[in-house]
Amino acid sequence: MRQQPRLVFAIAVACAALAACPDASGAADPQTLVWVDGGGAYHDDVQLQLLTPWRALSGDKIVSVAGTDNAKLRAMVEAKRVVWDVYNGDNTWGTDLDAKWLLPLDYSVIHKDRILPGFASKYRVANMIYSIQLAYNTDAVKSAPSGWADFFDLKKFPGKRAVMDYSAGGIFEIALLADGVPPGQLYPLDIDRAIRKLNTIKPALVFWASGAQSEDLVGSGEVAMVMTYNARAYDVKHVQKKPVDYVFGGQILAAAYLTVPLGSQHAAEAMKLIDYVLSKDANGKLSTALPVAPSNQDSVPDPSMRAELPTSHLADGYTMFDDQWISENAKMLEARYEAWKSSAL
Amino acid sequence: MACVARSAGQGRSWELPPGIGTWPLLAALGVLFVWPAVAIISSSVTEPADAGLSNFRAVLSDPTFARFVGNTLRTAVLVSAVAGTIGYVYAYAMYRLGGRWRTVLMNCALLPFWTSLLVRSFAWTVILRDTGIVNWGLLHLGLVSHPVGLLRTPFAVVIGMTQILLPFTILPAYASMAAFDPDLLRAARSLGAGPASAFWRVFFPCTRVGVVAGLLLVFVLSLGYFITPVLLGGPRDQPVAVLINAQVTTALDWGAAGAMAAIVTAVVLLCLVAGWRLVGGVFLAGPA
Repeated sequence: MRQQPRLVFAIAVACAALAACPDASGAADPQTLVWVDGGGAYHDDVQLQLLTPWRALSGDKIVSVAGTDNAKLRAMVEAKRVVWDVYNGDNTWGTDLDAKWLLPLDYSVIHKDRILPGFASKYRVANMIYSIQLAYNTDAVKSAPSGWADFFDLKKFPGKRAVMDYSAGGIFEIALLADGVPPGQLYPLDIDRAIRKLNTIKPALVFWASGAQSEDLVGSGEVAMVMTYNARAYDVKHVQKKPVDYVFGGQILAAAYLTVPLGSQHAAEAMKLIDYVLSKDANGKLSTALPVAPSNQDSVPDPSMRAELPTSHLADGYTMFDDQWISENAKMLEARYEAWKSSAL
Repeated sequence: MACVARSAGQGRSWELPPGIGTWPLLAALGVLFVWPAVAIISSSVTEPADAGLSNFRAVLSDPTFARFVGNTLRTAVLVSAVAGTIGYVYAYAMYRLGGRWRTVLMNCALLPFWTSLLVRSFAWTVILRDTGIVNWGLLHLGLVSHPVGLLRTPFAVVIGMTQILLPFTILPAYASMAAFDPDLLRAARSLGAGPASAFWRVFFPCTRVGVVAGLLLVFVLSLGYFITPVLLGGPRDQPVAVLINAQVTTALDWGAAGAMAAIVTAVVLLCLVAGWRLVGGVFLAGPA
């Protein structure tokens, strides 16, 4: 086969031109608002219950992206190429420490007076409450565990334990709670004490990296107990129909927060969308499919889901993450966590 | 490419510069690889603004980093050794069997390329875990009374990565065997060498360049592995890529991540240079 030099040259020029082009896929369409959340069943729920009605109401085009990533958001802001407009991050995201990457919320547009106290601040406002709880495989344990102390009791409840592979996800917190620290005195976290407690069950620990993996581990009986999101525990029991049950006692409450990245090209529309998501009628809608509680005190959750909401079980004892402390100490937490996890007992 | 362009351009009024065919590739590499790599690595001295070499000092004195680097090197050496050995034997079987069997074996070797790395790694978790097929079989045969810990061990990491990386040792080894002149073996035998002696003193030295090339490929690829050790390994088998990722995504400490990436890149480059010399040396020495 004889190659045409002109053709080779043309391809070379075309490739070089393409390579020199700025990244076209990342360019923002000025008409389209981009919503980002953590994905999974929640992503579909948001799309169906919140974004679709808002499209009809506002006429905005909305693209919904699955997969929050704080590092990616930070990279976008620093590169001044922000394509995300509403970012539905977790509880560690959006405190005043993240001011460099966020736009202050416009509370002349967003009505925050009926939002639960403490859940609206300069850069973020909560749109739903969830929790970290203990779930267990009913075939793998002889009697029902009642809280984190049982999670750390391998004699009474033999079997492996799966924990979230995330330094700020609650692993130190559950160890301290199991060790008898009262919820009100949890912060600042005593990391040495938490590690001592974690070491008592370290050989039995399995680290999960995604919510779906946590469901699989406890649903298959690979582990006897798991610490996971309450929506995941609900899903594996009621949707996957696996032999799994869960306890609300000792749960750690957390919230998902709405933020607007600094440099968003649709900030005004983003504020309006946030206001809609928090409104009395819209804010309870996520609970039609998922056990997440509204952050608006006037919103009514779906009656069929009421018994499954973390907020319906506060009498059983609960803790709240201290997001400010966690954010301030994120580097220290991460360093201690990786050092502990990777070392021999 | 250069040869083709030059010969095809003969007799024309203009001629393409030699090597122009590689320019698109180099341009793509520059934009897609070199530029991002430089950006990440430069953050090691610019994050925070007055960082200087402080990130490097912090990372190099951190026992956690040393432990993750140790895990990475240990896994890479083990996987290279296992994949190199199996790959050579497999390639030899292909070489000796020939015909239809060679085609079958070649396709089997390439099979792992047909499914995604993630799917294959997940498949290994289903096979190896306490409630997986292997333990189910062992328990039902009465060979063990409790599940054997297979998943979340170095064994699982090596088995998973070896399966994925095996084609990289089989193909170069086979290529060097296919280029081997069988008359040399006949000559060796006619000069009095036994079969084992002919293999080890003639065949193996002539084909070891393929072995070294395969080992080098697998070793370098192993150093950057992420998802397979995450899914199959235990907490003490995690590679340095996991630690770098945690610096970026959890601690948002890009300075530390950049310093770690720079150190790992330097190690990989050193390995490549050393390996290149080794391969080059074998080439230069020619068939022994």
